[in-house]
Amino acid sequence: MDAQGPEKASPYVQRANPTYTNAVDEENLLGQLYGFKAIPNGFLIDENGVLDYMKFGGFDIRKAETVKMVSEWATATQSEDLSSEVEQKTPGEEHLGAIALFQEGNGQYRQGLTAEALVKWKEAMALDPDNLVIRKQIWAVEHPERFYASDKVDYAWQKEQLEKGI
Amino acid sequence: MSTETLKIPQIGQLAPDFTLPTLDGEKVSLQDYRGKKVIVFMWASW
Repeated sequence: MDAQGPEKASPYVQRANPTYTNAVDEENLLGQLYGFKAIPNGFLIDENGVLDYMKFGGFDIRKAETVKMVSEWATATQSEDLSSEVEQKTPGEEHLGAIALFQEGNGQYRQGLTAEALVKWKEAMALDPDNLVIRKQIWAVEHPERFYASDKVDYAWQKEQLEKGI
Repeated sequence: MSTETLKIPQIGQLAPDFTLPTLDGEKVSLQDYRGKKVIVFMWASW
């Protein structure tokens, strides 16, 4: 979900060396289609393209319980009832409005107009303050040292920012 | 600016299709995986 594109996502993928396909959603297309405002999320989709499960926020493939749930789902021959954790409310019109502004900012960012992109992204954030995909993208561009200076993202700093309402 | 509201997809419904570039510069669509079970995991560097 990196607006900064494949060059930001690639190092993590290289480190994990996964066997699955990695796609880059710079434009928050999935947030536009599925209505989420935060990640990490997980969806399980059956052979017919039907949604079996969606988890919005806190989907962690490193957790044993998640591995177990996903493995059982993947090996089941019949679709079974999964306790889906869909806590999504239908988003208001600010959701798509903010994503449209975010996408405008992305166009500017790709042209090297970072200051202009940040203005646009902040308009998006003002319209939909709950959208953490947009908010965290702003943080990552304004404060790269909190994200990319070491192996670890500084989540304590992010918590402080949220508490300060930034 | 868009003033549409979104009907969010529900369990038991078709997952809205999407096409995105892969890290290798190819294109991938959810539709490409019809006939297989698919796990979609969304993450970011931040």
